[in-house]
Amino acid sequence: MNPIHPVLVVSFLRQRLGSPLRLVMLGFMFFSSFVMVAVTRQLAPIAGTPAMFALVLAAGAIGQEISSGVLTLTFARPVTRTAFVLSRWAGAAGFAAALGFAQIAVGIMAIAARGGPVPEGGEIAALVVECVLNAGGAAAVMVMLSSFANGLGDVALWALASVVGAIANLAGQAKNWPVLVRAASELDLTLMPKLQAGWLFGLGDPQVYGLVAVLSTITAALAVAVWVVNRKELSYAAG
Amino acid sequence: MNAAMSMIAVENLSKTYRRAFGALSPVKALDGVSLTVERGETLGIIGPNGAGKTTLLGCLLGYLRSDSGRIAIDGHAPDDLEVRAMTGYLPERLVLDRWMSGREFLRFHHGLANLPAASRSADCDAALERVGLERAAGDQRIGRYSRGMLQRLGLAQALLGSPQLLFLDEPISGVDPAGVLLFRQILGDLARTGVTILVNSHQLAEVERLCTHVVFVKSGRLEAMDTVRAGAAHARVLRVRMSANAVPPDATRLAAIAMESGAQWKDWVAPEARFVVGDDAGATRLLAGLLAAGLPVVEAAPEEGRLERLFAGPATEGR
Repeated sequence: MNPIHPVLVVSFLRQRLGSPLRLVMLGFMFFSSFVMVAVTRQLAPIAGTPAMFALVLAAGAIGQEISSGVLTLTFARPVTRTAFVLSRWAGAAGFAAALGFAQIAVGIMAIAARGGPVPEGGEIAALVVECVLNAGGAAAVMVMLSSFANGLGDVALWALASVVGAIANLAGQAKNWPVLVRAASELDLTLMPKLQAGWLFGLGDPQVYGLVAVLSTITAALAVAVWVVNRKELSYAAG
Repeated sequence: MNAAMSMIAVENLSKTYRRAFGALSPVKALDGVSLTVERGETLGIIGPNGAGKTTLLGCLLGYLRSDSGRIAIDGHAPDDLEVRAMTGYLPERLVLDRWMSGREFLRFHHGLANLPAASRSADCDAALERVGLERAAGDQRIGRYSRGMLQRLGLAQALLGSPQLLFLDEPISGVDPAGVLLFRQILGDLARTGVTILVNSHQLAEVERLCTHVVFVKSGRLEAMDTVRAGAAHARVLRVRMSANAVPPDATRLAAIAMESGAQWKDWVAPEARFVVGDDAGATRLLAGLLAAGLPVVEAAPEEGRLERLFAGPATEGR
């Protein structure tokens, strides 16, 4: 059986894109980074936005459904809970990456229109890979957090963990504790997996650790989400 | 599907809700429940609030994990995808994606059920029509549906793909009288075609109309399991209406006729007399006696439904 159910992916995206607030947030992120690209005449400002798109799209992906009670009907159908989780992730990550691709294309046109140096193939290919991995990583983490908390509690968990990481980083630097600084950095990379993919196309030194870290974060986050959702009991009587 | 096997077999099922952090004591929702449902049976699950009816349904649907015991549906575990493919479910608290239209909702479930995409539009239109929702209602957003329309739409999705097993939790809750009649007709038709139906309801009269068998659940235990017809064998109060134009019968005479036919006269409030009869045969003897005595009997009906009689004992114990 296909672990990603196309019907679930499509309905998830339709639900997400039916929210005016989400559309405004996605539009703001898209155009603000586009303006940065047009001003700087570089594609670099685009690098972080696919992960932000993924966070916006994946927020509440599971928790909102569980708390609303909609899932009792979905799971009465021949659909595995694993397929449900993976379809939610694929929908958020896929659409965020697609928005990233659109940004790259529009950014290249904007740079060319402003007479800037058009990025070379390797740089564009690296951005495309980063787009996919960063969106996939952020979506996986958000889906995992969403499996822990009802409603939009995942956003609160993500924000709380980010604040804890920032405080730990500051404390580590102030006290000169490299272990704490490293832990804060790892937490930050777990919440928002990032990869510099230029080395895959001959640009810069290899960053195998970074690639493994992003891939393992995605795998671990999805495995945890699947485990949590599989263990959940679905009934208002379960209280 | 294995024709020789019971459709549903539950053995010694127990389920306890454990509260987080031990703040409250655990609640035992099901305590050693065993039951068998044969193919084509229509089983009503009745009992007071908090008796464990919805928990039993949750376990049968694979939503809740039991502490102990065994459930087999057509020989499979309840959360087996084969079971889900042949099951339709209408929950009590119907929460639907409000942003979808009714038709989109049905198309979504048609897709989840892995039914052929080629027949999707036709199947969904037919399902809407079957539950009495007009084409315009199908295009309307679910957020604008009334309670009764939601219930009709919920039934339409449960019927997609011609399920062999239907779980209905309070199916006619919030449905208008015309809808109740339609639901009865649909479920009656399904029962006649051999679909196994489980109905969880507080409405005894409705269960009596729809079901061939009933179980009574109380405090997490199965207090009784019987056929609906069995209720006819129990003692009951019979109301006998006489013609309003005739001379009112004498109380002594009514009591004598009742005694001769093995019944007991209770009272006379014009134009009705009430008698206690022991069983169906007793009712026949009483009516024959009244007619033989020349009394103008125009109607006779039990004072309460058969299920009420069947479960009068267990339902009222300990209250």
